[in-house]
Amino acid sequence: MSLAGRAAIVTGAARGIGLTLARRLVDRGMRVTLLDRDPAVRARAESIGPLARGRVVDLRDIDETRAVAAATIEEMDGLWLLVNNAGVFEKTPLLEIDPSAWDSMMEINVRSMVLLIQVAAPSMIAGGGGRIVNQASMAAKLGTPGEAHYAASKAAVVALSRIAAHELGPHQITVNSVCPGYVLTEMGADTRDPRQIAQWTATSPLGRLATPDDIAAAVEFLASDDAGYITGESLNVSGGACTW
Amino acid sequence: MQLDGKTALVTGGAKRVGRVISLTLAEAGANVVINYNTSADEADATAAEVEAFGVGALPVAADVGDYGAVEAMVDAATTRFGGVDVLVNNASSFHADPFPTTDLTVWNQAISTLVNGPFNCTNLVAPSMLERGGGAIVSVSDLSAFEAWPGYIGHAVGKSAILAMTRQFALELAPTVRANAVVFGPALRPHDYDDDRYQRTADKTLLDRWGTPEEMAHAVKYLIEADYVTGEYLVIDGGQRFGHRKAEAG
Repeated sequence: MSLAGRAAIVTGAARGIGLTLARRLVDRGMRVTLLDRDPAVRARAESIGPLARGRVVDLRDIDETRAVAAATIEEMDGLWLLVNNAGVFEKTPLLEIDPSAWDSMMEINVRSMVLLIQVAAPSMIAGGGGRIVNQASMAAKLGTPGEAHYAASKAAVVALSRIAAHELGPHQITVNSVCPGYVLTEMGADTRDPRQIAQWTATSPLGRLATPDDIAAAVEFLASDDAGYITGESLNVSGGACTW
Repeated sequence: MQLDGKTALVTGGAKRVGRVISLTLAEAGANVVINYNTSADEADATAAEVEAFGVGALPVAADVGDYGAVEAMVDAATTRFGGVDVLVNNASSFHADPFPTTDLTVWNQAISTLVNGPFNCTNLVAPSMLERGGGAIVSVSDLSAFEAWPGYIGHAVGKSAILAMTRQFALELAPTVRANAVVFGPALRPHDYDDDRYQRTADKTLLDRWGTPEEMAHAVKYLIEADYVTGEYLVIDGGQRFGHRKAEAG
């Protein structure tokens, strides 16, 4: 009934929520491969311990993504959990968004998830079941000016998760998305100032921002055996800022 | 919130899914006040199972729609355990409720149990939770909150009301107390389901199966423990709400 001994892939795991999650899963006894485009991911994985392994991959590169994912699953001899956590964020007014910037956001935030699910699914099917958890965002449902590309990409993640749940359900693979509210991590650090942090804090009735651990706990829950009847869901971890 | 050492009040906690919720919280180290309406024997049996985990158990009879009875129940819980840290609004009613009708009995019963019940219980435990500096509320809804269940109008209105109440509880009691809802799909075979109906229900889920009371209780436990989740509803239905579209997949 526990996660111990099972295999997981976490993308975007060199820092932030991904790294916190990888540590948490290793604590539970999982074998975890951390994927990131940042070469520091190898050292970060080593610092977690022997159950963790880091590999570098550029998720915008279709061939590289497929090859690294396939090699990882082969090396780990199967897969229980795929966490599509990698994502980028930046703010640009809608009327100024460059089409190539739009495409790039979609490639990393959405298309990479499709590629990884396509590689991981056969292995999960052969294993009799599995868990796919996709990092969306409160922006999928709410969002603010400057986030048109980001919010659209995250809404796509929610919809993708829903249809994936439908298609993979008969194989006892659940697919869910997590919608964090404001989390203090490195991503987006250059768009913040103390006044903005105060504004973001005020959006949550709980009067604080989320920690990476709040998000990691939600992913761990969805990955657990007893969460096997939850599928096609988008789980808000927003401190009450989003209630639907 | 960590459950170890806390006290939980589970309405309808004596049998079926409510009993498994009671046991799950007990296993996590919480005392359990087991509310029941008419199931006294089951409540005593469940209390014994709860105590086997080394925590306290208190079966208390109360129709949750009866304000005075809920007052007495909360008093009893406070006297025994010092206060209530966790409230699970699980008590429900489910009776055939034709519409239109000349008999308002079932409608009134549904509104009493599903609307007044959670309101009464939450209203009566909240002041103490606020005073003591913490609390978590989980209320149980089902898919009739999102789609029509012909023949069960009172039940559907009640389960919908539970979602609205959850949002209100969350915003009114923040930041000290969190409130969330669980939306259950098929969890435990009703006594009047024949094999054919049982299978048809399974076929309408994305996972081709019923859930289990343990899966429902596991979600309740997560929402109690998740310190940044409030005002949320979590659906545990094996994708049943999307299952209507299965035939369209070609």
